[in-house]
This record gives sequence, structure tokens and C-alpha cells, in this order.
Amino acid sequence: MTGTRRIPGVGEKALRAVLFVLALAFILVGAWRGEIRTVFLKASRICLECLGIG
Amino acid sequence: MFRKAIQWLALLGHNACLPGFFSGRIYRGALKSVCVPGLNCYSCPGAVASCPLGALQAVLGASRYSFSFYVTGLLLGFSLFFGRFVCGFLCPFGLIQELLYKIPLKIPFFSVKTGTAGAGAGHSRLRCARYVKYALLAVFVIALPLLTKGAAGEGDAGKGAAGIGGPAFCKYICPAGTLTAGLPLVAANPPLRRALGGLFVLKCAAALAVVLGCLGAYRFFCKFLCPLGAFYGLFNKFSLYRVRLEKSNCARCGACFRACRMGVDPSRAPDSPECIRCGNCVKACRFSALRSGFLGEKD
Repeated sequence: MTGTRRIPGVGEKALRAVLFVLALAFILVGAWRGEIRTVFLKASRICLECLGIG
Repeated sequence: MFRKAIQWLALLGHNACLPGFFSGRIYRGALKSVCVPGLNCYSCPGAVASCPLGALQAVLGASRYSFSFYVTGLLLGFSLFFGRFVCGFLCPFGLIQELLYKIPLKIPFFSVKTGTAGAGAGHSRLRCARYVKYALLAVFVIALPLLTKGAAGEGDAGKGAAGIGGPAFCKYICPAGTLTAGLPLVAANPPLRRALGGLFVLKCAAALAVVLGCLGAYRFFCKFLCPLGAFYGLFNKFSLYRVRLEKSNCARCGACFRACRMGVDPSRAPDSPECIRCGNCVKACRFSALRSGFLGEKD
């Protein structure tokens, strides 16, 4: 390895791995809580706020 | 050219339901449960999936939730894979801004020197304005939907006690919603036209201001106002997609800084939260000091 290029350290890689696991866990917990249905119900109707009506 | 092709493909992929633009209706299939990484209003007639900002506000504004694990998890995942690569390659509204910037019409008040030599001077004057997008994320995307949530049922972003709707960013600011959802739907759907009022005028004024800004400054909305870019930018240091600097090859010629239209100096901060990973700096470097991609430790 030449130069002083920054290489991901063990700490950075570990943090990234932890965050990936956290992201996956969040998605699963969100799905379990029914958030996907909430997102679907909002997105599958015309959003009057987005349009500037509601 | 490669980036532009990806951007057009992403735009079409996000809005593949083309008949919606003629019928004045939106797609209602199961894909709407999933968020796309870029800013693309779910009420755009062509949209096949959900906008992450809209989805986040919808969940936060629903009476039974005070935190959205699902949308936060998706955003975190996108951030860790891509960082602001999403902004540079995948975001439909990013492409729209770049097309607007190509229009040779510059309104003096909205013009910001950018993109070529002197970019630093132009940006230093507005450096503080870049923090506005973080304030919008904190206040309009997170705090207001939480604080103004009503007692409405599931999936309803609700009306707050002060009459303020839950998804405050969508309601008062989002130009993507106005330009890609509001105007096409209102044009194609007469009942919606009859419901227009002062809020629509306010949103159109906000969208017009952003359009004028985009005419004068490269990716005006991304730089100063986009809460999604603000979130992704926080993870530029951790994302798998990176820009790497080989300091031993760097001649400090400043070519990368001059090539950067976001006002970043890659020779000093290749992981800047403002970097949208467009790759202009990599192309401009004649000394192979910069590389970008999904770079592992051995690259």
C-alpha cells in the first residue's frame, strides 16, 4: 500500500457492520409493527398535502 | 455520459407507470409499500413506489407511532450502501435540477457562481445556507409531523390541533411534490382543480423559487434544501460507495476543486457530506489521485 490513502480501520468496518445489522433490524421491527401498511395506505392514495390542496 | 444514462434510467424506473400522466390517477399497487432511495413523490402519476421523506412523515404523523423503524431502517440501508451516490446517480429530482441548470436563463438574485473556476468564492458566501437542509430535516420532516399528529386512524397523517397537517415538508415546501405530482394531477384531473386554494398558490410560489434557484445554481435544492441529501450526507464517511484520495499522487493542482460543482475540495475532504459522488473530480484528476466506486480495503 503506497501513499497515505485512508484505509477503513477495524473500528470503521465494525461500525458499518453494526449499522447494517441495525438497519435490517429496524426494517423487520417496522414490518412487525405494521408500518409498511401505513406507508402503503398513504402512498396508494393521492396525497393532498403533496399536491398543495390538503 | 454513463452517469446521465443511469440518471435517466432511474427517473424512468421511479416513474414507470406512464399511463398515469394521461389518466390523472396514481399507481396503487403493492410496490407502494416500498421506498425508493431518491426524492420522488408517491403522488406523481408515474410513481411506482414511495418517497422516503413522505413515508417517514406519514408514519411519524400517524397516531400509533412515534418513530418509524421501517423507513429509518431503509434510509440507513441506502445510506450505508450508497451515501450521496443516490443524489448524484439515482435521484429523479436531481436530474430535473441538472436539466433546469442547462437552461441559459440566469436570474441575478438566484444566481450562484458555481461549477467552474471561482467555485470556492461563490460557495463560501453561501456556506452557512447549506445547514438549512439539516434544519428542514429536523423541523419539517421529523418534529412537525410528530408534534402536529392528530387522533386520526391508521395511515392518516392527520390534522394537528393547530390545523397543521402532519407531513409538513410535503405540505409547505417540497417542490418535487408540486412539480411532479401537483401540476400533472391538477392538469389531468378536473375535480382536483376545483379544490385548489391558497395552499396551492403557496406551494407553487415555493416551487417557482426553487426552479429559479436551479436556473442560477447547480443543484440549488440539493445544496441548500434537500432533507434527504442531508441525511445521506451524514453517512458519506461510512458508505460502501466512496471517493478515495491517494495523497502521494496528489499534486495539489486544484483541478478537482475547480471541477466540483458542489463546492467540495476532494483533495481535502473526499468524504464531505456535500459530495454527491458525481465523479467529476475523478475525471478531472490527471494524476490518478482520486478514485470512486464500491471500494474495499484492497482497492
